[in-house]
Amino acid sequence: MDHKKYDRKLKSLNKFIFQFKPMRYRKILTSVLLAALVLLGVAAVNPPDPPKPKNLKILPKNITHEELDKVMDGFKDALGVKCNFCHAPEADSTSHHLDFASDAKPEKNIARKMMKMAAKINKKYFSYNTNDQGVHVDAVTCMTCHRGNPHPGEKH
Amino acid sequence: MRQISVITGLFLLTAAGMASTSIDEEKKHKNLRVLAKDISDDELERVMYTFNRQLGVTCLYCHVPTKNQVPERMDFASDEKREKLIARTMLKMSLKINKKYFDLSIDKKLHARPLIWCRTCHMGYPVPHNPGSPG
Repeated sequence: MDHKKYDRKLKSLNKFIFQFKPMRYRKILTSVLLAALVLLGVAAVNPPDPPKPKNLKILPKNITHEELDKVMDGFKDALGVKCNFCHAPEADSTSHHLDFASDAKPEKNIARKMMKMAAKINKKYFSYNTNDQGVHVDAVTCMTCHRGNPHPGEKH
Repeated sequence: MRQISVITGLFLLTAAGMASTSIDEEKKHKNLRVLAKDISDDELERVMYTFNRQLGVTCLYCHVPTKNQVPERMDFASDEKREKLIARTMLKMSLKINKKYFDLSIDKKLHARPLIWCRTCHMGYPVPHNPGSPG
């Protein structure tokens, strides 16, 4: 009884599969496989987007990862510091990573204040400062006062 | 009688002398807009020499000589040079930066030592060198 039922099922399945002409069936299979491979390849080449910055208060929230990196590298050059001057380590003590969203270090908030200050000084007192194309160029940057020092006032 | 008149005369002369000096003092700084108007000669000179040092310039960078006068003197009250107007703006700016961002009130005679000062950016040059770096 069971065998008969099973046979019937198998037959109907075979019927279903072989209703496709063998050539067409193989074509479909190949193209599906190819598409899957291509998708896999794309996924491997383009790693998933880095996590979005979570705690931006002065910089635009929709800033791209590359732009943000550039701004941060500018800070590092101008102050002669590394990331951990402003960014606190992750709470998990076994981790060597920094928690970039954390506001635990006072230096980070000072950096925010300094950014606001420089923007205001440039806007209010140096709006005339333009390049050859007439585009505004910041007259005052971190480098103007810091010159590679984290605390510029202390040397003189 | 003669003694009295001599003493009175001397006293009058001294008084006149004192009066004339104090009048001179009052007349001296005619065009102060940012610095305190009652700043003394010494205090003003100290501030001006600070500008000289920190920008690496002489008085002539902001001030012009008098015209039609021999011997030539400096006309410190004149606003003819653009640099003088810029200096006023810069002075106002640094006082404000000290107060607003570094919680440091600087009096208009600059007795207190500012944290942000001409030298902070100028570093001895009339136009600050700005090593190119974004941020």
